[in-house]
Amino acid sequence: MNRLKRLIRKRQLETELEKELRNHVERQVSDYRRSGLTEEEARRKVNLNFGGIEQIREECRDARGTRWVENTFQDLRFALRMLRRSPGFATVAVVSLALGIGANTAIFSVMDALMLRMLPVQHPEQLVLFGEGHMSGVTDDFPHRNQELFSQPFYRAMRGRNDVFSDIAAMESMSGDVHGRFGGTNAELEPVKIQLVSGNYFSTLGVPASAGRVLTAEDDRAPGGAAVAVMRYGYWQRRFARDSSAIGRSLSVNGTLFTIVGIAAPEFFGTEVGRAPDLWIPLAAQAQVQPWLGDPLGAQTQSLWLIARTKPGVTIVKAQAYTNVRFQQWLHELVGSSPSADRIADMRKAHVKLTDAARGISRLRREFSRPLQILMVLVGLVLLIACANIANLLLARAGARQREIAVRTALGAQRRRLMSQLLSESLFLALAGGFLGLLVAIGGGHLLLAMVSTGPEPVPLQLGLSAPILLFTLLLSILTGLVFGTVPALRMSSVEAGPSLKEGRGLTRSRSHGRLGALLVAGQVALAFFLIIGATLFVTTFEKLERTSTGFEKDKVLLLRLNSDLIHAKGPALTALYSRLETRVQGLPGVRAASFSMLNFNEGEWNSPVWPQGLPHTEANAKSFSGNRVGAQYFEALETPMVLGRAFGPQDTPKSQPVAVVNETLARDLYPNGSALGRHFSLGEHDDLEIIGVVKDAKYQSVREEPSGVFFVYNGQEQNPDGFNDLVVRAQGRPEALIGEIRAAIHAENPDLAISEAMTLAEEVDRSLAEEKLLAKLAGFFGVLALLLASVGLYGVIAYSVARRTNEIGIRMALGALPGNILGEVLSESLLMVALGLAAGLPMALACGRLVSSQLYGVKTGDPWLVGGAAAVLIVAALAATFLPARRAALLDPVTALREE
Amino acid sequence: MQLPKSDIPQGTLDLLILQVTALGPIHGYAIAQRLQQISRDVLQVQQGSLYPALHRLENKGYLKAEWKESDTGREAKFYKLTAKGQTQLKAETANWTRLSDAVAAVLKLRQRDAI
Repeated sequence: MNRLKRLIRKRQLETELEKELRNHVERQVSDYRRSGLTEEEARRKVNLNFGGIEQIREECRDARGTRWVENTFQDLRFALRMLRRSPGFATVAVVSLALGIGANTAIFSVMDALMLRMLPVQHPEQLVLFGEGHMSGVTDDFPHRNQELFSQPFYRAMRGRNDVFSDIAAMESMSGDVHGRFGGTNAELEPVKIQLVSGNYFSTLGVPASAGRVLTAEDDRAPGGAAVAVMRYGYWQRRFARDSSAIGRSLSVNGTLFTIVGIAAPEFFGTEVGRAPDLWIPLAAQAQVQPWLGDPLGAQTQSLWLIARTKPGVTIVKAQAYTNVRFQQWLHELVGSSPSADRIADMRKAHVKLTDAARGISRLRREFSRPLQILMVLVGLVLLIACANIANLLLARAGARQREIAVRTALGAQRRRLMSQLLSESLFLALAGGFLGLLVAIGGGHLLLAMVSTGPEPVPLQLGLSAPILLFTLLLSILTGLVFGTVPALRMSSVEAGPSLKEGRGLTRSRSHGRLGALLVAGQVALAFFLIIGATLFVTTFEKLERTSTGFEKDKVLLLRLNSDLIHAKGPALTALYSRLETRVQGLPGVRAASFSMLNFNEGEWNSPVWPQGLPHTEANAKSFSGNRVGAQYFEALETPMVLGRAFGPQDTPKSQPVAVVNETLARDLYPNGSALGRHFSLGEHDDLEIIGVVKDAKYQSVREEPSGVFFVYNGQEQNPDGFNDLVVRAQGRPEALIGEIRAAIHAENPDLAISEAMTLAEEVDRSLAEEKLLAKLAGFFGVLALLLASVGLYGVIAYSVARRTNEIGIRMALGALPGNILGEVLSESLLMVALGLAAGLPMALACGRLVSSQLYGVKTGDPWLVGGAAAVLIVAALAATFLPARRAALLDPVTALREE
Repeated sequence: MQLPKSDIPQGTLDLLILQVTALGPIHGYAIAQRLQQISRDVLQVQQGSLYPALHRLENKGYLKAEWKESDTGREAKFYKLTAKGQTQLKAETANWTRLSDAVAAVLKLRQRDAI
């Protein structure tokens, strides 16, 4: 019979035990009777021989081996009863624990989804990524460093014959929106997120279809062959409401019809965490989906991520060594028999680093790992402060329950049993808090996700109540219960029966609780100080960044990203279309200026070597600057002031002298002595550009960046529509009000011209600060919470100490102490705790401040104003929290006070 | 006349119980009787303390219990040695023999020295 059965059959076991013992006694009695004793004598003798029946019964129960479980149940029942008797205490404790544990779980759930969870594929631990997944896009640079992006020819060569990988899959690193139609030409044009993948993508990952089929190598044979697509389950759910007839429908993209052949497994979201494509399409269709890519099969068109599954037993080190040998072989074949010196130098530096891909690729993870880790620490500390509060409450209750414990000790309760009972109460509270905390976590997790999401849609991360989340919450709850319950339980169970019983019914006189409580409060103050300093740092960082001048007007400028994939006009025809559209928008009422441009804030970079006139075009003479291609009204639209010269204008035509505008930093870099105006420089193959104007520096990639040199060329002279898709419009009034009219203007010009995004530049700047904003908001929130909790703790301890000393205060007042003296004494008692806390918290904050310095901007941890401010806030809060009990003490009526007890 | 009685050394009760049950299924009272008879009343078992030991051995899987009708016609709980109990019995017997031989040897040595 196993233990569980024994537990369930407890009642039966009890009767059996009873019966067995009685049998023995009866038999013995009748045996004695037979030997001639009277009934009475026999019974007496049996009792002597047998021993105390109750004790034997207990020992038998112990022998059953289920005793501890029974005890636990008993303890829990008892705990529930005790807590029900003080509902106020229980409610306060459970609610504060629910908030504390819930906040921890919420942050953990986002961390889990973003950083810890394995991809839902077969044996994710075998997957490796070529490179670190830091780059996406396309590059035609000859490999000369850690290579992250690869070409189709290299992929095919690598796949062909292989000793270390069981298979390699490729996916396009650029997986943006395309605009397509489900159904005929009358259907609405809708954005669809597409990722191009190799035919073996699903088989390499081991992802099955939940309906229909997944892509196969067959689908990926000939370029433009079978145009098929596999749909993500979540997208199918949302877009087609799980209609099974979605399979067989087709999506028309850029004139090609892609037939949906299947729906991937429900949990599969792709290989990029936080970015899920709607459809997967074979790489063979690259030319149709990404027509702007040039030659998709070219050896220099490197835009693929490669993800491979290692053969069993092959380590990542071995796989990397093998991959690099093959990579070098391939590069040697590429450059031919007589490579240039530059190429040889490049090849020497070119290598591939393999990284663990079990958790997928994620840009979001890179950005938010650090803030999430910081937040995890902060929220852990908040929970610790809450624990200290509850421990203090428990200690106060310990005083009140001392008599109960003393009575139980006197009746023979073992210390171990008392401990386990008292701890059960704490665990009960913690588990109830943890359970409610799960609800808090679900809400909080989604709130967090919304804050992490920088785009208009929330990041597709699954946060639900998975096993790791539940386990985390359970363990955290137990740990929490032990943290706040152990010391009070130890303290309470060590009560000695004698003295406590003699003390009478009043509050205990033990000074040690007061000291322990004060220490706890000092610890709380230290943690709160730490958290407030942290909060101030992050909030200041965010505010400074927000207030930093971007060098352009952001609030009144609208940015529209257009997508011209669908329209048939290419080259000069598209340029003409854009220029007509520009003029049309410029003519709209409420528009001050409008211009197309290639790049805007936080959109990426176009880097190019620059040679001042006269220098030979060697690599040594080149300086690298980033550039942009803009329209005539660009600087006017952004309100970037001209420092010197003029902006582009109608006099600049394809036939006139090519001209450029540069920013101040570039002008200073290239021409340290004298004006840049009128000077000439060249870019790569472009020979000769004359500088006609210098504009003020602005921020181009991020608000944090240092000034860097930028040149602007004029699209009116280049006549090149590639990537020239950003329309910036400066409004007179509210920019959002213009969206409708601009949309109509675009539609009137060409209905196939799609708008992928429309926002103000201010929103784009905001988006670039998402990480700092998250930290600032949450750290600020936790700082305030910490302050509140510490104040409550302080209030509790002071109020308790005043109540305990009522008698003493009464005597002193009767002897002539003034209310002012009492008030001052109580206040100074509280200030002493605060001072202790501040002294402990400061070095902690300074040490940790150094760890987060990379997250900060324009503020230092050691800033005396900041530290002083945080300390002042705490002191004021402490005084406020202490004032009520202090006043109560000062206004005590000596007569009533003395009568107490 | 009553002979002086010895308390059972700690831990040997289990061994004795296992030995008695090895002879066949037997109930608690009979075990107590048997222990007293065999040891010719030398070993004094506090009768009640037999039961916690029985339950402990059952819990460890050395004994298996079954309710059966006894000679008096009443139902009694019969204990039977399991295979696991048999192994344990062998191990403990060996242990005990080794120990008592050693003790006896030491005592003999003492006697010779005394002479």
